[in-house]
Amino acid sequence: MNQVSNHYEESELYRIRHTAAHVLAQAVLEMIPDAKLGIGPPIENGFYYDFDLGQDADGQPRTFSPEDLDWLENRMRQITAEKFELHYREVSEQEARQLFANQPYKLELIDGLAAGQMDEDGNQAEAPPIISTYRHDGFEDLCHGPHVEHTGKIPPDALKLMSVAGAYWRGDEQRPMMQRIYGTAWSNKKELKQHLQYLEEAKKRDHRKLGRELEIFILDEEVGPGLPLWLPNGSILRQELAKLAHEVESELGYQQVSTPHIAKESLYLRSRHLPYYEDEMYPPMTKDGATYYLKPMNCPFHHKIFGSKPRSYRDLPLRLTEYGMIYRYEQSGSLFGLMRVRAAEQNDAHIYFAEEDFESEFMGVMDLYRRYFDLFGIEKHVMRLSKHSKAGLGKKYVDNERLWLKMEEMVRRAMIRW
Amino acid sequence: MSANGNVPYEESDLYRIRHSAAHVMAEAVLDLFPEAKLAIGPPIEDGFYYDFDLGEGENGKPVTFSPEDLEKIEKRMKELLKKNARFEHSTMSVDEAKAFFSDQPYKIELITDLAAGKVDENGAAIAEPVSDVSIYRQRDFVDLCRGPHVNYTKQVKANAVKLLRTGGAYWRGDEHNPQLQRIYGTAWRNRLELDEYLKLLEEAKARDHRRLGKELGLFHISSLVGAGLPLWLPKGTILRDTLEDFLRQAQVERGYLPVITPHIAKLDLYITSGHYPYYKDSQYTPIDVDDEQFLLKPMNCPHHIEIYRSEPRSYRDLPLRLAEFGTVYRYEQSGELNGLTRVRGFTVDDSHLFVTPDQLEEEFIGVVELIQYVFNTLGFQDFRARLGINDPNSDKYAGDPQMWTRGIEAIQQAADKVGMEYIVEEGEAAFYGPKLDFIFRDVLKREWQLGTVQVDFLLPERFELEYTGEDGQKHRPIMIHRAPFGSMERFTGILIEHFNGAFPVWLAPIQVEVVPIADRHVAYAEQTAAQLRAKGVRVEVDGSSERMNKKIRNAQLKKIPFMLVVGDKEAAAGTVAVRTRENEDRGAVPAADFISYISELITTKSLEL
Repeated sequence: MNQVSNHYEESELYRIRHTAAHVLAQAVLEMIPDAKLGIGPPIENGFYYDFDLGQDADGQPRTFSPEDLDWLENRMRQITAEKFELHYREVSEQEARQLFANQPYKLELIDGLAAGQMDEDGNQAEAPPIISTYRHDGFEDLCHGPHVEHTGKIPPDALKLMSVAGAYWRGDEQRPMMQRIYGTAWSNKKELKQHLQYLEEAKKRDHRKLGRELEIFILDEEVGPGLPLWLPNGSILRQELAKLAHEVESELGYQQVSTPHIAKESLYLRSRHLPYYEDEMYPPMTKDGATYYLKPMNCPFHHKIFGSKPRSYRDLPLRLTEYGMIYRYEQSGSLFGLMRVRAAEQNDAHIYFAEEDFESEFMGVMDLYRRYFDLFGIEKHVMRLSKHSKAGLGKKYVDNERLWLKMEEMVRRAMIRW
Repeated sequence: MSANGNVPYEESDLYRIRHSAAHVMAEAVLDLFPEAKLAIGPPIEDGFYYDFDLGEGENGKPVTFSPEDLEKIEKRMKELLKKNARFEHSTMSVDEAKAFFSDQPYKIELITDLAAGKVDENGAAIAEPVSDVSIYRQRDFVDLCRGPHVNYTKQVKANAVKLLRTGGAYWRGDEHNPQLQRIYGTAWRNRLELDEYLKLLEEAKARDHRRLGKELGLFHISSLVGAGLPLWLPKGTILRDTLEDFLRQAQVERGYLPVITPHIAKLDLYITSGHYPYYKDSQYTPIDVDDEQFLLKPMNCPHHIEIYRSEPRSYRDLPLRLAEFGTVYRYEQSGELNGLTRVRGFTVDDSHLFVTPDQLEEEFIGVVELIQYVFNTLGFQDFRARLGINDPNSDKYAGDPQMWTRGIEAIQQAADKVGMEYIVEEGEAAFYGPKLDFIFRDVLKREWQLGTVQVDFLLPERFELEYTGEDGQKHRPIMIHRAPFGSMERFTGILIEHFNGAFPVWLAPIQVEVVPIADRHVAYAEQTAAQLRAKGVRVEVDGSSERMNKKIRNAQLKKIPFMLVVGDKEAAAGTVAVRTRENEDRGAVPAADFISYISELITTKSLEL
C-alpha cells in the first residue's frame, strides 16, 4: 500500500482559489461599499464568498443580478493583472476589532477567535488560534491563509463566477440570509474548460433529472422532503442490487437478519447514540410514558441479536447483515435527490469475531469491496484510514487511547498486506 | 347471494350456550362471594368470560381468585346448571333498573350510558338513548343483558363446561379504571367437543410460536428494543425472505410492479387520506420537526396513491398494480402483544390496483385466484370467505351509500363468477369500502383472518385520482387493496404453529443437515454440502464431536427435513444415507440422486418429504 498524501489544502490550486475569493470580496466592496462580508473559503472545484447586501424596499434580502456577476468577474481579472502582493500579519484582538469595526460578521468571528472556540471558518478550534489577516491592494481580510504570492498567480482566463445562492449565516436558519457567490478558478484555461464540460455532462446525468425521466424515483411534498418514493423501475434496480449483495454475502457466510425501524430510548442510551448522536436523530415519539426513536444506525439491533443467546467460539465469526433503513434528520436545505435523504437504506453488516481472527475478517471485507468495485468497473479509488485525535478522546471518541492505537495499528497492517 | 349454510357465530347455538354459561358462572360467584361486583360477561371465541371486582385486600391491591376458588366456582356452577332453571327475558325502565342494581356500580354505569345514548354494554356506540333496558333472569340471578340465551340452564351440559384461568382486566379496557378479575371459561355442546378442544389447547401450547421461535432461532424480542418489535434472527429472516420471494415471483407473473416507500410521512398525508382520525389512538405520537409533524405510517395506501399521482395516467396505464412489502405501525396495548401474531410494527404484502370500472371484476377475480394459489401452495385447504360490509347504523364508514352498493355488488358478482361461497357480515368492512376476507382454519381448528381484498371508491375521490379515458375525458379509477398473507409477522407466527416448526422443505431455513460419523468423514461431508449449496440447497454440516445418534437427534429437534449420514461406506461409494426429521430411514442413495430429489421438492414447493 502506498500512503497517498496530496491533500488539497496543501496544493497550489487551493491557494489560487483562496486568493480568488479575496479578490472577489474586494471587487464586491468596490461595487457595493456597504456590503457586509461573511466568510469566503476555497471549496472543491472552486470557492465562494458570502455577503449581506441589506434588504430591499420589500424587506427581502438584496441580491446580485447576472449583470453584477459579469461586472465582478471583469473587475477580478483587472485586479489579477495588477499582481498585488499578499501580506500576512498577526494582529491583537483590539487591532482586529478596529480593522473590522464596520463588519459585524467579522466581529462575530473575532469574538469566537478571542474566546478560543471557533476559527474564522466557524469550525471548533482545538487550541486558541492566532488572529491573523491577509492584505492586498487596499483590501484586508481576517484569514489564516494560505495564499499565492500575488494576485497575478490567478490565471485570468481560468477564472469564472458561476452562480449566486442564498445561505444562512453559519448555516443557521435563525440567522440572516446571506448572498453566496460561487466561483471557480484553475491552473490554466484548459482545466477550466474541462471543468465546465464536466459540469455540462454532470447536468445531463443529474440523477434527479434522470430519476424522473427513467421513472426511478420521485419526491413528493405530501409525503415529505427527503423521503423518496421508489417507482417500479427504481424498485427493480434496488431489488437487483439487494439480490447481488445477498448472493455475494451468503457465499461469504453472512447471515441476513431483519430488525425494526424504531426502538425504545433505552436501547440508544445503552448504545450511547443518546446523547452523542441526538442532533442527527429525529425527535422522539412517546406512547404510554415510553419514548421511541427512529433508528439512526443498525448496530445496536445487531448487538441485541448477538446477545440473544449465549455464544461459543463455534459461533464465531458471526457475520450479521441487513438491508437496514436508518433515519437522520437533515436540514431541508441540505437535502439533495437520492444523495442526501432523511431515510436511507444501508447494506449494513456487523461481524463478531475473536481477536486472532481480526486480520482474516478485515481482509475478507476488503476483498468483498474489491469484488464490488470490479463488478461496477470502479477502477480509481483511494483508501483513507481515519484515526482518532488525541484532543477528541472522551468527547468525540471513546476514551481509551491504548485501544485506539492498537486498532489503528491492526487496520494499518491489514491494509499493507492487502 | 350464494352464502353458505354457516350461520354467523352470534346466531349459533354455541354462542347461546356460552352466553348462558357466563351468567351461571356469575351466579356461582355471587353465591360464594356475595360482595363481588359484576362487570360484563360476554361469549368469546371458543368460550366466555366474566369480569368481577372483589375489592381491595389489606395491601391495597385488588383481591384475586385463587386456583382453589376457581375449582369451587366450577363445582358450584355445575350444580347450578344441573338444577334446571329457566332463562327469563324481560325489560325494566331505566329508573327501575338503577334501583334494582343499586349495589352493582358497574351495572349502574352501563345503564347510565345506555340511557344517555352513548355506548352499549359492549362499549359499542349506540344511535339513540334507551328508555327500557333488557334483562335476563335465572333463579334469583338477574343480569343486564340483551341475550340471546338457551331456554334452560340444563341446556348447558355440566360436563361440557370448564373454567380455564383467571387474569386481570381493566374496566372497559382502560388502565385508568379499576382492575377487575376476569375468569375465562369454555363451554361446548357435549363432553366430546370439550375434550377435543382441551386437547387442541394442549397441542397449541406445545406448538406456541414464541417457544418454537426461540428453540428454532427464528426471532427474538429484546426489552431494550421494545415490546412488540421483533428482531428477526438469521433463520427467521430466511423463512420470511423465502415467503416474500415466493409471492414476489407470483406477482411478477401477474403483472404487478414493485415500489418502495418510506416508513414515515407528513401527518397531512394521512389527514388527506382520512386515515388519521381512525388510527389516531392506535398510533405512535407524531414526530415534530421544523414545524412539521411526521407520523410512522399506519397504512401504505396513501404512499402508493402518491405514486399513482406522480404522473398523468391514461387508460392504457391501467390496471396499474403496485406492490410493496410495506411496514405499518399500530400501537397495541402491551397486554395484547403476543410474539409475532400481535406486534407494534408489521410488514404487509400490500398491493394497490388502480383499475377502470370495466376492469374491476376481472382484476378482483385475479386477486382471489392469487390468494387461492398462495393458500394451495401452503396446503391451506380449510378456509372460508367472508364479505364484510358496512353497518348502516355506524358512523365509522365514509363515503356515500351508492359507492358502498357498487362495491358490494362488484365483489358478489366476482365471487359468483368463480363459484366461491362466502358469508356476509355487517360491520366488518374497512372504513373506505367493503372487503372479502379469507379466514383460514389451522390444524388446531383456530380461525385466522388472512388474505383480504378490498374495493375502494373513496380514496380515489379524496385524492382526486384521474385517468384519461379512450374518449379523451377524465375519469376516476377504482382501487383494490389486497394482501394475501396479511402481515408477514402474523403469517409467520401462524405458519410456525400450523406446521409445528416443521416447515415444507422449500421454506425450511435449513433443508439438509450432513452428519459425518467420525472426524475422518468431515471432508466428504463438506464436499457433499458444497454440491448441495451449488444447487441452492440450504445445508449445514454438523462437524461437532457428538455421537452420530445425538447429531441426528439434534437435527430432528431443529426440524431440519433431511439428515444425510456419511461414513466410510458412503464416502467410498459416493452415496449418502438419508434420514428424515420424522425419523424415517431411507437408506443409502447416490449423492447426485438425493440432490435431484430435493431440488425437485424445492422447485415444486412440495409439502412432502
